[in-house]
Amino acid sequence: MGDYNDTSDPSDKTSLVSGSPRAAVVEQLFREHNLSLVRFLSARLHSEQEARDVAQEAYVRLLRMESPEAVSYLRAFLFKTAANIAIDRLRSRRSEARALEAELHAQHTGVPSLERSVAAAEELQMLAAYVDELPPRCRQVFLLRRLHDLSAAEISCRLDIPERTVRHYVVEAIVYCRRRMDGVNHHREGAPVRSPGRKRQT
Amino acid sequence: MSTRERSEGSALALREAAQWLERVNTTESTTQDFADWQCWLAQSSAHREAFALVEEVWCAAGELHPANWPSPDDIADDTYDGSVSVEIWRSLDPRERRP
Repeated sequence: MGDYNDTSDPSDKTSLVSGSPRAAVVEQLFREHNLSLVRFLSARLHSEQEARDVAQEAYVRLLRMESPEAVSYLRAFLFKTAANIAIDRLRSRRSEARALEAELHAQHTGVPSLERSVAAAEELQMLAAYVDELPPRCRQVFLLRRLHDLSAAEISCRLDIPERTVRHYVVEAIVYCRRRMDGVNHHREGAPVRSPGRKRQT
Repeated sequence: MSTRERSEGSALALREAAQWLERVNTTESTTQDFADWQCWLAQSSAHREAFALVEEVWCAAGELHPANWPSPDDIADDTYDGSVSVEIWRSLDPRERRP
């Protein structure tokens, strides 16, 4: 666990910002949640070492943050902060990998990396087309949630629809896009096909 | 899981995974949510695969710029009420979709 192995002595952590109540709260969060935080991050990053690095970075950000000291708020913020750092890392890892792959490909074949980025762009274009196929309200909810980073509660207020419906639409949007990406057949409007029945799906 | 053998069963697995993603992907998530989610992931490799699949959609969708937003008219004419999957809704005769 590197730096985080030693959880028995809280004074080490609080000394980061000596005497600050924030440090004490962060220390408490660390003791209570570090294990689940590192697990949470490991699942996303597929690397325990990197998960620990990200967790540490999240604690440091929390220590520097100027905001209420409430533990419940900080706990949510800790996971959110850690998730954001993890996403940034995944993103840069992915583009690094893509660049490296393109470079190797170009070296071996003389084909410029442009072809690779065209493939990635095409994939994104496909996804964009699937998102366009979503029912309008469902698409709006999904885009607000994903691109504007609004919570279900915020979208619920903004659009005046129940929060439960917001969550349901987000889930349905993801499932639909995933199945389209996997090549599941769909029926265009010109060729309607009867459904086996209006099943209620939750 | 082969992507070629998707069935209603896998739609259910994906839906469950997407529900977990929605539950742990907010600032309101509690430690209990994360613990429950970890238990669910640990239950089977099918759960882990389904979660990875929906997470991929979530990550890729973040790069949809500029997004194509529905117009107010589109939204006013929307007949989807969430009682069936989008897949089934799309398979219905357009006339049946009218409210």
